[in-house]
Amino acid sequence: MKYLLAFLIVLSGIESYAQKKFTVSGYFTDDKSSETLIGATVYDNLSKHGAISNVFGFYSITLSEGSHSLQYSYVGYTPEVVDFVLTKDTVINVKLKESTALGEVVVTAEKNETGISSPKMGSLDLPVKMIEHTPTLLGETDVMRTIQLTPGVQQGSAGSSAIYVRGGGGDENLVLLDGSPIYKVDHMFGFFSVFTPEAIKKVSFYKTSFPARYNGRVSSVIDVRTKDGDMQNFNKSISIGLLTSRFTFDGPIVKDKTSFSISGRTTYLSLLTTPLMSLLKIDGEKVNVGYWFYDFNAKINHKFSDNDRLYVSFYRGVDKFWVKDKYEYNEEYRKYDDKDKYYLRWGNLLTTARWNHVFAPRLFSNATLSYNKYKMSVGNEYEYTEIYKDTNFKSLECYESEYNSSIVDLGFSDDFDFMLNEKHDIKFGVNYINHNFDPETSHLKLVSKSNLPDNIPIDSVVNNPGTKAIYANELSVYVEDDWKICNTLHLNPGFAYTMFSVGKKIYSNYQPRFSLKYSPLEDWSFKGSYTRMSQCVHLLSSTPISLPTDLWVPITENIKPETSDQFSVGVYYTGIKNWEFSLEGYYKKLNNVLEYKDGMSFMGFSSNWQDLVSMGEGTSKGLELLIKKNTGKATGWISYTLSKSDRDFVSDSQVNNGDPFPFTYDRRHNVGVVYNQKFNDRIDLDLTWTFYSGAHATVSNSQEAILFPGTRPGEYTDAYSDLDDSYNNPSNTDYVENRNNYTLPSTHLMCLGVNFHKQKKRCERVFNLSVYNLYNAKNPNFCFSKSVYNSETGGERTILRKITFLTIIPSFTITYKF
Amino acid sequence: MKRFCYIILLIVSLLSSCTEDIDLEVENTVGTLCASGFLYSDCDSNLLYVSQTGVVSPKEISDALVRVYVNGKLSEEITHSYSKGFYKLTSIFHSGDRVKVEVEYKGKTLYRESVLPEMPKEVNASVTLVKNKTYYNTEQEEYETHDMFRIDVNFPDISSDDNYYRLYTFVDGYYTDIKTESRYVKDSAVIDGRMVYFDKTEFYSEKTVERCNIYQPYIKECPPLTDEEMSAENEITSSLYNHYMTFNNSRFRGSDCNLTVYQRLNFGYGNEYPPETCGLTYDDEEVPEYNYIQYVGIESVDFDTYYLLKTLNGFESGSFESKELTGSVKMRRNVTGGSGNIVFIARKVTKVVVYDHYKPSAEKSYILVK
Repeated sequence: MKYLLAFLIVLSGIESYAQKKFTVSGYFTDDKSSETLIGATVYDNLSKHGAISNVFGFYSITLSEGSHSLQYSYVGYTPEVVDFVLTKDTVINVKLKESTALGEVVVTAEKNETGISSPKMGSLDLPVKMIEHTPTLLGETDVMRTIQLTPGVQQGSAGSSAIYVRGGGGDENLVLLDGSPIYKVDHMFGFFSVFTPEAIKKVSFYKTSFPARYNGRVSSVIDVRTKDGDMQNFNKSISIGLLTSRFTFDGPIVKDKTSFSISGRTTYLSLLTTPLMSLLKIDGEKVNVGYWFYDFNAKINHKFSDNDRLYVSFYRGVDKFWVKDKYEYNEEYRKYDDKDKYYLRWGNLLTTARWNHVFAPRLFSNATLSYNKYKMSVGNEYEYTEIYKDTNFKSLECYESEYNSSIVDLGFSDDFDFMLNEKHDIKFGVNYINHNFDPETSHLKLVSKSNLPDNIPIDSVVNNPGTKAIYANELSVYVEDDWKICNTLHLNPGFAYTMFSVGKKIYSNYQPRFSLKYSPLEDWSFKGSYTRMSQCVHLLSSTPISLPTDLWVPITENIKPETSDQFSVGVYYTGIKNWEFSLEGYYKKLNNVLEYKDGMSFMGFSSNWQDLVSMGEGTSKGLELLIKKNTGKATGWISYTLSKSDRDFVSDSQVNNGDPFPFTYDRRHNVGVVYNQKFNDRIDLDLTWTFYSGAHATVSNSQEAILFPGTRPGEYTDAYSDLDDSYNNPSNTDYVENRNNYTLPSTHLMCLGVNFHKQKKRCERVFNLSVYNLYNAKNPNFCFSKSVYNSETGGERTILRKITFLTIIPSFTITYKF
Repeated sequence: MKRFCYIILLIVSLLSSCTEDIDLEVENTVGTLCASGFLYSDCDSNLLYVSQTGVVSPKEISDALVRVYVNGKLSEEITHSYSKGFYKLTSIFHSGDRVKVEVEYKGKTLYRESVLPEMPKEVNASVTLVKNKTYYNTEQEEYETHDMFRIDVNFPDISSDDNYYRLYTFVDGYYTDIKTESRYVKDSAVIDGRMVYFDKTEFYSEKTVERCNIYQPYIKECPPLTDEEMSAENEITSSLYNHYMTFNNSRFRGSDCNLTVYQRLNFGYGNEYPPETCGLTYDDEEVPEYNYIQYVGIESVDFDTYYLLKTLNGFESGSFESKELTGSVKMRRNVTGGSGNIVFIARKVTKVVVYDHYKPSAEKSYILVK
């Protein structure tokens, strides 16, 4: 590697010398907080060359010797112009001031990697302000719900925060937190994502034209970057909402050298429900149901020099759900207590250390070391005590059992940005992850004793390793070039190679990627791209809601990696001031997509899971229209998606008899509207409206007979009826001709949020009033088929029962920013 | 006041959660012809069940035409059901035979054609009593300790190819018992010089033959049978039980297979109504007599049947009951032209006589309370 770096440094030197060119490099930072700015633009007004800052705020632009006028800009900030004569490689660290003139509700369209001037397609940057100004359920601002409003993204079941991108499955989204993949991305069974809004600096979302550095999932990438911490001042904020409260605290440890940022969020749902639960008794037993979650983010950022920075970040998120019941009985001659507790606990632990080093003005590197753990536990604690009052006989029985499933990833990556010249920006790197899947382990403790003289007490512990742990290694190398061929033509070729080894099997995947932009006119761009991605892990699940018992498993010797090939074309127009128009079309083919075989479903176990599924193909095609207004007092966007997604399995796959069937979230039409209005400095309003055509479900309107094997030939006959009645009569089950044979009703939803800002003596107070489902649409949060009495015919008929529990829900959040 | 109004508004909104029923507009599948059966080699009384799908429940068909072809030749033709939609097939077929079962009803025809799997070569089994065996009772969801019969089975794999099996156990067990009943009889007595007639309760006992209670075999310690579930004692998430004891030869390919399951039987011990409480005592001829014959068989099935049995395990374990979450599950079917599963099985059985007219009075530990 060091030889390669030396070569690149020498190459850049030769190239500069030959052309008499020099490099201007440095970091973009916020003037107040010194927070680095991602995707800021530097543009030379004389040579008409430009560059953008990377995810660490670093930029590099190579220019000819002589006079230059560099304009540094970032949306929402006052541009700064630096005029100078370039005679040598120069470092300019730029501090931009947040613009008060543009301080309204800002929805940005930055001219960066995901912007309209880039060859990349199907990508979007979501700044925190955009996320904060998207009203959602119970006032909980949420990254995933903002992404749901963009074209090409399908919601899961109504009300959930799950996303399905361009016909892909729910497990096909690579969600990165500070560069490290996170497995469980939601709380509360899928209603909220794990990202605390205040901790986020920026979110980049890709659904095609994936940069070559991203690997591991086939449908989308969500890259979440957290705040580094203010190097100048201490900042605090506290938000109190109906369901959760949040805080952030950041500031300098050593001014201009070291900063920290911590943030947290927790719910108090149980505190609200406990008084109600105390009134609840089922069969004389006190039952207590509770739920709790928290998120905690911490980050330290240290600047050793202009060339070296270190970031250490930590995230911990835990959910816990429990059901307790207690039964006490006091009889004349005896007394006994019966306590039972079931719990479900799951969460992520993520630690990353990143070191930025500038080897040369044109060569930037980021080395990342990460530790990522996801663990789920299901447990039961039971205790029974019995005392006979007259004889003083005492007995105790208790057992504790716990079932665990975990994934531990240890990762290392080294990413390089090599700005060869004004035409080539080369990115390359290597990424290695050691996966340790430990799907099922259990622990059991059993105690049984009494004070009888002949009692043999039992006190035993059984630890069971369960399914054998699976170790897998994933290595990927990549290279891509952002090549400005000429003023009108911009090409981004890339290539990634991934090697995944599990057991004795090694899978190699070659993933070419290609994006082209042609801009014949100043305001028009035409783009085309081809992307291939691969995925080596799968999420086993049978339900549309996110359950912690869903298991991540790696591919096996029998199950090949899933791959996607995606072709996209698009046209973009920015001729009207402050407005952007884009129309993209895509065709995506998924290979080795998994489905459960007929009559199979996920039973909660990973062992032999590969026997329950078949591999097939999926196709998705669609058109996506986006109209965006970026600046001004009124901003927002309208998105429309027309799409179709199918699954197709061969006839011997035992999936739907080999007939093609629609993907569950194949929704023909999607509309998303986001409207942000700033009335004045004190009041702003956010409104969203979504429309989704119905998803698909497998329903049945008839019953078929199903037989079970008996114990001897002829077991169904009356002759053996005295042995076991269950063998005599066939049972009934739903008869289904084809999978996903029913289109569920369409859903539409409007959410409103109003923010009232008030500057207090020591702080700013923001009072947010939100209304979820403003006009109380009866969207189906759950649906199932059911046979009911038909009063007309006197027989039965099958109906679909829609259950709506997310009706109009007002909520509030008060935030104090110090 | 504002706060109070807000809370009221919130509660009202939460309570406004609602359900709505809408007509289900999907393809009408009522009337689809279905046929199912587990057809055994070397058996002259196999049963096939023929029905049609129905709105509430399937409709059994008693006048379908059933044809059986063995190795391409028509073996039998049945026009009426033996009992309630069941058709008794008397054709005898053997391992390796190509068998086609065809069902015709009102212009609709379905069929299943397959080659019978190879018969297991031999099955060896032994049964021993294990005292105080502690195990987790899946049905009762608690730990229990009982005397259980341990069944050890040994058989050689048919070949070194992929083979699929099912362990079948059948208990033929019964015991004699003294059943105590009461009856009213007319009686009379002289009270205060007058004859008074009244009803009197009289107890009597008679010897009966009772079948023993048979419980689901306990298989948690048998690796070939626990492939698809947790092998540990932890049952919290063990929603799937290998009820039909299906397994493949991945653990013993080409060699001998050893299986161990535990069978719990109840011969009437611990009756809630023990005879002695009625003032009766045993004399010699009243001592119960026990018979217990354990049949143990290995069934050779094809890949399709193996997964059908797995699906049925899911049924028995309630995996498909949460339709609200999973939606309807499309079932497996292996017939062409309709629905249902007609499967062919080759079964080798061995018989172990455990108790043959056994009188426990000879064993101290089995003497009942006198």
